[in-house]
Amino acid sequence: MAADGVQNSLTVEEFLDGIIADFEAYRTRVSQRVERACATSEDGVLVVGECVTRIVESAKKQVGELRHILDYVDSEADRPNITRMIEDQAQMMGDFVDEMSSGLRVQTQSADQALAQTQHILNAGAKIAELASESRTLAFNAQIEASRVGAQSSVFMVIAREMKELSVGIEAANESVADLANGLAETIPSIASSSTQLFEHAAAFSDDFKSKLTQVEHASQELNDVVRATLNDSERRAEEILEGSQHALSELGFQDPMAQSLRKIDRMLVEFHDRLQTQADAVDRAGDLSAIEVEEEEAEVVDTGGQDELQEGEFTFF
Amino acid sequence: MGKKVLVVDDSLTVRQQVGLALQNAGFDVVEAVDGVDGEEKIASVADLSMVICDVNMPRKSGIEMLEAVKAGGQNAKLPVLMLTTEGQPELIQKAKKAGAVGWIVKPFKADLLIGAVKKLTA
Repeated sequence: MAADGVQNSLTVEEFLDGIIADFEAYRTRVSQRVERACATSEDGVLVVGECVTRIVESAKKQVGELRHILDYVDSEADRPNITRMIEDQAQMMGDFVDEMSSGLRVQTQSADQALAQTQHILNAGAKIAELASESRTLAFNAQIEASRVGAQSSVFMVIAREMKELSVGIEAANESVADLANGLAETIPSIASSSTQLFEHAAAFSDDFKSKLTQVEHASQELNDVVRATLNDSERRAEEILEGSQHALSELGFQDPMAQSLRKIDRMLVEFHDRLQTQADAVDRAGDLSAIEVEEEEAEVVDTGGQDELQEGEFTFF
Repeated sequence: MGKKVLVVDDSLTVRQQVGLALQNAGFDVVEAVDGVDGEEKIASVADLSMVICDVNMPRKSGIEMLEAVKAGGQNAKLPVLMLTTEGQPELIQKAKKAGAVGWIVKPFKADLLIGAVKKLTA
């Protein structure tokens, strides 16, 4: 409005220039927003993609490690496993007890033989005692006879005395042997009894040990089965994570089409601005609106090969 | 070592997603950022099994790169699969005439893409 209240009117050129300037200002703001949106969405998608990549790698690594453990649990290789070690130990224990019982049996037999020989010694000792007694009786009678016949019997007396001393010595030695034999006869049965008890304890221990080992073997097998089931379950879950992660990554594919669409809109706005500017320049030169050309779009003939436009996610192979 | 696939796309997110999908399927991945880089990689990287290529890229478009590769002779038989946001029939025909083996419109399904790659590299 002028100072006197008369409204000034714009020329056509000024009007068009104003519109174009306003349009350019708005277009610039739209363009900046488009770039910001593309950059922000790209950054976000890349970060999510990195996280998903790490999840996928971790899941794949876990699957690999679990499979390695499963293979080891199921392995029939020469590597020792708990079950085989238990069986080997049970076998060794059984062999040891058999060896020990065999040894104890021999020991018992030896003890019986020793006992029998001790009895022989005692019998022989009894015989010797009998002989010694008869010798003493003979010596005594010889002494009597020697004293009866007088001086001619001094040699006979000596012999009789010697015989008596000999029989006394034999009796004494025989008593010592008998004592020893009696001691052995008491000791050997107790040794045999102790050996028998030891064998019985060892056999009982072996049976108990084998029974316990069998229980451990069963528990070990059950543990193996639980571990295998757990590992199979964990492997399945890891594969589900892998599959889910790949699906999530696919869903991030919206970003590029979105960015391209936004940039296309921006380009279309630029083209529109350029057309407006062209028309405004033409009006400037002509001085009026008669210079504005309305272009009729010609129908473009294109070779589509009879194909319709493909939509998002669609495909064709040649 | 898996089969080697070249991914040509100016979008970092697309190269990341396609690359990860291919790696999870056991393929080795080489990346290029546009048609010029793609052409150089095709000429210099040995044992490429196929190329996955975008269409709208700076410096050189995917179809221009495809035409140059097919005309070059040395790698003319290398399968090139177009992966792009475009779906216009005229562009698809142009790519077909240039020697592309297929056309997938983004966003893509990973299992579809992997299935196609496995078939084309068999």
